[in-house]
Amino acid sequence: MIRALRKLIQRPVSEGVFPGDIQGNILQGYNLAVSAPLFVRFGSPSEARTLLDEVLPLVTSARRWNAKPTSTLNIAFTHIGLAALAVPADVLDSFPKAFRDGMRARASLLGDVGRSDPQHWDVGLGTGEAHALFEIQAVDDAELDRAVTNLRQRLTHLGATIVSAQRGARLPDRKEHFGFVDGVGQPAMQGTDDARRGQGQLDVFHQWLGLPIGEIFHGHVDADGHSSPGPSEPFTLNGTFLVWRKLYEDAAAFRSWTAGQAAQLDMDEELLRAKLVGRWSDGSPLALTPDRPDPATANDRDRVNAFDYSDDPDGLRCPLGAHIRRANPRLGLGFDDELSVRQRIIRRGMTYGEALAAGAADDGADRGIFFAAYMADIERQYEFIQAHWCNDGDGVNVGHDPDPFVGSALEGRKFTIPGSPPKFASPLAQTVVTKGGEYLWVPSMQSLALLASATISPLSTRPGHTKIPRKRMKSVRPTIRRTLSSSTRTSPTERVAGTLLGVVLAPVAFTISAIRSAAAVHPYGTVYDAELEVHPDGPALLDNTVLGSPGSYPATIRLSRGFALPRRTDDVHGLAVSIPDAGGPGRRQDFLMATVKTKASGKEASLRTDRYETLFSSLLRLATPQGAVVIRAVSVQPMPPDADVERGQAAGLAYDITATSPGGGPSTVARLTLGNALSDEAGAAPSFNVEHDGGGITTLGTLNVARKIVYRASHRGRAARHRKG
Amino acid sequence: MISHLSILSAVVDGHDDELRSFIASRSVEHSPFASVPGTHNGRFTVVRTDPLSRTDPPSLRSGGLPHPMLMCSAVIDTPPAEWLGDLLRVLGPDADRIWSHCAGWPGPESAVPWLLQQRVKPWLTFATWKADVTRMKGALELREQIERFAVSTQGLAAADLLTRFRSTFRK
Amino acid sequence: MSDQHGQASAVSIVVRIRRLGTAWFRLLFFGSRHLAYVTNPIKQQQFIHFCHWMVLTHVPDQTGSRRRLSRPVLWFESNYDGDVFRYMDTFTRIIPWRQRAAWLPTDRFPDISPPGPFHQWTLDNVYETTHYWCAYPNATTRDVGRSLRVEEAFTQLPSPDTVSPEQFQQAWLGFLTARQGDL
Repeated sequence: MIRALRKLIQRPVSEGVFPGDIQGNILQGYNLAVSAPLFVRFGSPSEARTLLDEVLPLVTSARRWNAKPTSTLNIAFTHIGLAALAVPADVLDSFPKAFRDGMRARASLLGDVGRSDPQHWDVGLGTGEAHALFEIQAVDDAELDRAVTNLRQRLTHLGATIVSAQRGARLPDRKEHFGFVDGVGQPAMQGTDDARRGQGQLDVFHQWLGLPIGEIFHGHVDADGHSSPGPSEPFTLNGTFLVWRKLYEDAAAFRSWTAGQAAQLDMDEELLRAKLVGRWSDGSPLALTPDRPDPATANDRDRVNAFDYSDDPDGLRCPLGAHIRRANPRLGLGFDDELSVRQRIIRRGMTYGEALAAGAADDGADRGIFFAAYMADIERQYEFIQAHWCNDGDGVNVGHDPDPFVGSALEGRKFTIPGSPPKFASPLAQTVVTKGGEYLWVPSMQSLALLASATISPLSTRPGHTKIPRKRMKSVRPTIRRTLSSSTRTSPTERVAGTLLGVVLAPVAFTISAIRSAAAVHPYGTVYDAELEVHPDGPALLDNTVLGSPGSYPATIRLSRGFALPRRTDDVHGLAVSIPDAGGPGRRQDFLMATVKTKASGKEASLRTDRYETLFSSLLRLATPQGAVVIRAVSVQPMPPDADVERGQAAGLAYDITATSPGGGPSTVARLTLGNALSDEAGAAPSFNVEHDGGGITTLGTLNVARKIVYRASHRGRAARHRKG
Repeated sequence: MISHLSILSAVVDGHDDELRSFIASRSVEHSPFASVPGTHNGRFTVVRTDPLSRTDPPSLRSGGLPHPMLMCSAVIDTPPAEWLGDLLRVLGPDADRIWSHCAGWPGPESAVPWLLQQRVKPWLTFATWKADVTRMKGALELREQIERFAVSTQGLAAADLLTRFRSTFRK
Repeated sequence: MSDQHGQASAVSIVVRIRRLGTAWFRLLFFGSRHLAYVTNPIKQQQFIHFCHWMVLTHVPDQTGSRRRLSRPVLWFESNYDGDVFRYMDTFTRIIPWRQRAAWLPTDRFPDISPPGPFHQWTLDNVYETTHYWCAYPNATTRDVGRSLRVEEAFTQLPSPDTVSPEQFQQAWLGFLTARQGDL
């Protein structure tokens, strides 16, 4: 119950994406036929920047296509590569340690030992020579050749060299070289995919929701309700990490090993292979179709991933040690999805090499998979999966059984096939070998442009941006962070959760207001006449709202203490603004904001203060038609003491009204100037209410739904008291 | 009966570096705890710094520990006095080299009562498994043996299985 | 690494306690001792071999006697599998209020979430173990549990001298089926 409540309070439930600013092939795969990952070493920093500047228009973003392009280009950088671009040292140091170290240095953690040891890796991979990955994908070989030739010319011209040129091609039916359909189980992302059972994260009502964008991209709300930490300014937003690995698949050894084991265990070879993977070769999951492959399930997007192992705790259908189950245990580890939701990655791999003909002996050809996975945190996500779930079985409750494909040190180990009695496939054979790889950072389109520009400086030094220290960002409480979610609608789950919360709190509000004969919260306040001057040229986010429509608006404001506690006692100090004709005659807009205390440390932390501070924030989620917005009022002059405010002596006080989009810096959009205090009679007239959204700014989310119910209960309580009185 | 034994001693000012170097020089392969019966785990921690919260500004540091400290702690199956006697025996002259850096050390002869005097009682203890160390180690070995046996005897006829079982486990 | 022996890790967190913290810990630990509800999820998670909390109000001083601390100190020691941040993060996720309660009255505790400040606080208060040894360094806490269960079931097998080969085979396969998750 407590866990459920915590989820209700902490979990963000909606999050938007910014397709124009993120690179393509991440949220949605290109599904193109061929690829050419080119690992590039730059010339001088200025040549490198010129190169980036030249290819920038060719880079494919995540914008929706009108028509599928014939080729795409995406760019990612190693840490050494960023240094080669003369990125300042403090920015370089802000990248997480795993990325700074690089894949080769993490080999023992990743289990890259023996045949997978970096000393055996392909030339140019993981050696520190590669500065960047330029990956071209294309519809066919001819288009790929054309695009690669074009790029090679630019590279050569600008002093760059290719240290490793790879070539990938999809096998028919999306299969990899062992014969299995690959890339089936991807996380459902909020704002992009429909969440199906087992694919995203569980909410409080055990419904599956999309995974928050912050699990993949930096600067967005993650599954714990925090802003996912990435590199420092100016690269805080919309970047992601790419783990790229070249994995050789020894198809002949795999076939021979499974044939031998199947005979030894007296079981069907196709079933044994499915048990090792967790899916049949056509992609249908053992969790749903344990006895035979089911093409109907395999081809049904709604079913092929609709399982969570909660009904198969002992692995009788899908073994606990099966590859797909240990790489994504869903609910199989207990504690709902708490132990697995932070380890989701998006995979966009592609096979390379010719398929080995059925029944053929090993031909010595190089074939396998370019494993490519995107995530916000290499250490927490990919490395954790590889080290704790694949190399060792302790974390997934299979003792020391490694993953039969990508696990480490397989010799002498076994794979347990649960049953009555169980069967043990042993000894395991190494059929997948790491041939190289890199940890790469995939910048946002804006960051890419910045890397291509002459100088890279923090955003704070450029006009129009306010730098928020990372420490301060981290300290912002969940209520504030949730406002950074960019969804423009309240989801059904939020509505239900908010209603439940509201129903719980409503009797309390009713009782308090009936006893007080005043509203349960902000019962007393001082109301002032005011004028709102909306500046021209506001951000596009505010289009079609009162704050995006320049002009002068008469307004009424109220300054009040939330619980009407005695002066100098910590309380929530509120600023309510009501604009009667915000959206035209009679179309009223109200904002409710509360004081945010800024500590000496610079942290914006406490919502309860002992006096009016200079900063008020809308706190709970607001949205314009274009996206989520946080409205803040910043007092231009120091705030007078509470007593003066309440005596009506705050006339002339002015506030700058700012609007902040998710992840963006604040823009000052209006000036609010206080006039005279209104008399008690006049002041009682406006009843501030966030349901008034005639100015195009609406409230969103669980807490706002609950707030509305609580407000209504409070009004009813007061009315009941008045009737009685 | 598993118990958590913690002995906290004050290190003489200026001796903490030397003490720490001496203890750290002993590799885990030659750990004294390995030879003390009934030991699940043992540790020495030399708290070298005076302030406890390293991020505190100096003005706030007065509430920390007044001296460097040595914590010797272990999870054990035997009575503390017996275990400490065994530890001192295993350490031999090294006991003196360790605790002679601590204030009040009476020498090896009356060390056990002195160490017991320095004992800090835990306010809360937690153990996932409450078996003695001999049983735990025996069970770990047995499981590995059973695992190997189970893999290698798959599909054997009943009589062969029995024969192999007898020869493996002599049950 | 002196705080690791095989798969086993040692951590010591030493931190001062705020005003009324001692009373808080008395209450919390009383509840933990008497309500299995408090500690059961930690047992279920199975990656702590042993841990204990001490609250120091007096410490030995340089004269050989004891001295009262101006503020009590919490000294926490744990023997566990994995690394300290995984340890902290896992508990933050599965038992958040217990995790919060365990550190609440300590100096400068920044709350368990978001993880960044909490990790930093942990680093600030962790003292490196100078020497650490574990009797079963290659066994995780789960390994120990699995082994104890297997051992217990194994002792229930019939003696091979008292049953026919077929009866023994049946018992053996029953044993394997029952304990397959532990092998």
